Amino acid sequence: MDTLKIEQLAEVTRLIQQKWGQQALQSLQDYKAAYQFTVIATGIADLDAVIEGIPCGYLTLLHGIPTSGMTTLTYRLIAAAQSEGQIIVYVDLSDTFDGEYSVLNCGVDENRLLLIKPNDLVEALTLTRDVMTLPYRGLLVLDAALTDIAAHVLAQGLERLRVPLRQSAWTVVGLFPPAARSICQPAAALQLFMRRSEWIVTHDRISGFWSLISILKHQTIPQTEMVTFAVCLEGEGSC
Amino acid sequence: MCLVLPDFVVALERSKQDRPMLVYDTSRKRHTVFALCEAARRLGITKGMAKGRAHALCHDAEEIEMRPKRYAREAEERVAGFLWLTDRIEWEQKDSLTIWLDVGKASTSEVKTILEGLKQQINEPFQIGVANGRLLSRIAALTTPRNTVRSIAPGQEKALLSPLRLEQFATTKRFREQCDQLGIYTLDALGRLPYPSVLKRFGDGGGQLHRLFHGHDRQTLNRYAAPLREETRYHFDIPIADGCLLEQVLHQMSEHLAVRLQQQGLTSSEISLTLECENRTNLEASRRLREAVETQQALMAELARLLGQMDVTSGVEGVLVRCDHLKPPAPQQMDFFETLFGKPEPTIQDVATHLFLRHQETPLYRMILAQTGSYLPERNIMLESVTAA
Repeated sequence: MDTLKIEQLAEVTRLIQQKWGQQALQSLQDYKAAYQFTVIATGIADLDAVIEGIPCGYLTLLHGIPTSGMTTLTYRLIAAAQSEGQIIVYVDLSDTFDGEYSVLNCGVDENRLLLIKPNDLVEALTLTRDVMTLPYRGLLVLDAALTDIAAHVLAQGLERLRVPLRQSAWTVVGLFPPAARSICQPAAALQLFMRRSEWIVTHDRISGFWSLISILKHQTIPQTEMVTFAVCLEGEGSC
Repeated sequence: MCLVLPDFVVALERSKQDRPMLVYDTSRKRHTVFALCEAARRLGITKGMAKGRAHALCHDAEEIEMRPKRYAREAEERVAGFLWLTDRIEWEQKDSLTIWLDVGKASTSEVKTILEGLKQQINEPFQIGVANGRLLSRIAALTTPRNTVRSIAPGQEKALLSPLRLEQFATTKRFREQCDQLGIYTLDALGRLPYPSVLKRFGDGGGQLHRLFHGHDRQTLNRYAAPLREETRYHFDIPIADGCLLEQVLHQMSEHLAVRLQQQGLTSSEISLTLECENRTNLEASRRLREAVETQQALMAELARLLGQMDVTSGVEGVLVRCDHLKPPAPQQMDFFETLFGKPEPTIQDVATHLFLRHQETPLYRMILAQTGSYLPERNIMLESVTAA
């Protein structure tokens, strides 16, 4: 952009801000500088470059079907949180927690993870609220990706989590099916949608897949942003 | 010098000039009139009257519940505005505000200059009494018409006090009964009696009134220290209703406050949050803390709690956060082991112990890595039930 256009843009911005206030129009850098969060890095460089990490003290929601990379991303987050000294509570409503994969492939410390298997969503949400009252710093994962969810129960439950969560030192990551995207949106600070784009085939064997992450809700990033990362099914780390 | 603002509460609460206004005391079960305007007084309503009766006398009055914290805050701000004059200030706030100012041994011309300054500073009805003594100046202020000054020169006390009835002073019931039996009804009658006899018969209360009548009002004013306070305000250009955005603004404000508190080395024991709404109402919530806070996280936690208590039904135009009761941090008792080794990291057993209290039926597990090399995942990782310690 040439100098004249930059000057014109600055002048227009100044006039709008003068008439409608500073918040009416501001550059993304200024906005980001004003709202900085403590984050847990996801461990995926491309994703961290865009969203910087999962905001601590807020609700982050991941949506996707099985084999979309959602679980792998969650296990990486758990490992990252454990490396910062946080304690992990995994509320496994779907009953799909893969201990071996999480420990061997994603680096989860099994000694600092408490696995809870509640009977239904209401019990899971009650447990989550109770965990929020504990005076520890930690990460709670609510895995309901393969559960039939009553929409109003989930919406109410997540809304009720917001205030206790802000008062506590916990961070909550929820795993839900894609259909629950719109229900959950108001309560979440960060919402990601994940889907598998293509399989990775090595020597005629499937060794992993490429996962596509779309950002549905973020404070500073538009919805059109997408990130791709590879999930490796064998061996350690991503492909 | 005593300055009385008789319509202090009414002036603060008044929003509509064309209607009478009543402020109710709702702190007790029986709601009574706490303050009222002149128009309501003319209709026969008095202070302390029951709400139902007042409403019957004036059904179209503007009715408001009293907000004592706001009045106290405003009163403190008014008092702090007189520190340019003297630091010996005392004040009393009910429905009216009474402020005593000790101007020392100022000459007549200096007093005149001070009075001119005071009149310019006050934008509401006032009564000012100038006399040597705390009680005497108050009596002078209360007996003068509004927006006037009454000065009592030394030696003229008796002319002011003589007609005052003894029941007007805060005395004991026994004292009043004794005075009635002896036929003493005014301060003049009491003051004419010999001082030792009054002291012997009526005790300290009688002696004090006797001394007052003869111009011996030796009560001095204490030095006024303005309370420390920190506040920050944020105004939205467009009313907002998004809770997340409001939280972010509170986050930012708590950071500013924390920086200011830490720069001064102070902590706060009372946090107040005021939301100025689009529909011209103010939502207020405050919290007195058991332990003073100074960090951003602690301030934000309290603000989030206050925000959670509020029922925000319309857009928010402005936010005001105030930290009161500022003081240096209290020294904390150090734990020997904490000092040496720091806090131990929580384990999953700690979390499980807490959760067991409410969720005894829910299974809690820990993972044990077996590494058998089996193709069956359940042989490589086993789940062990965690029980309460």
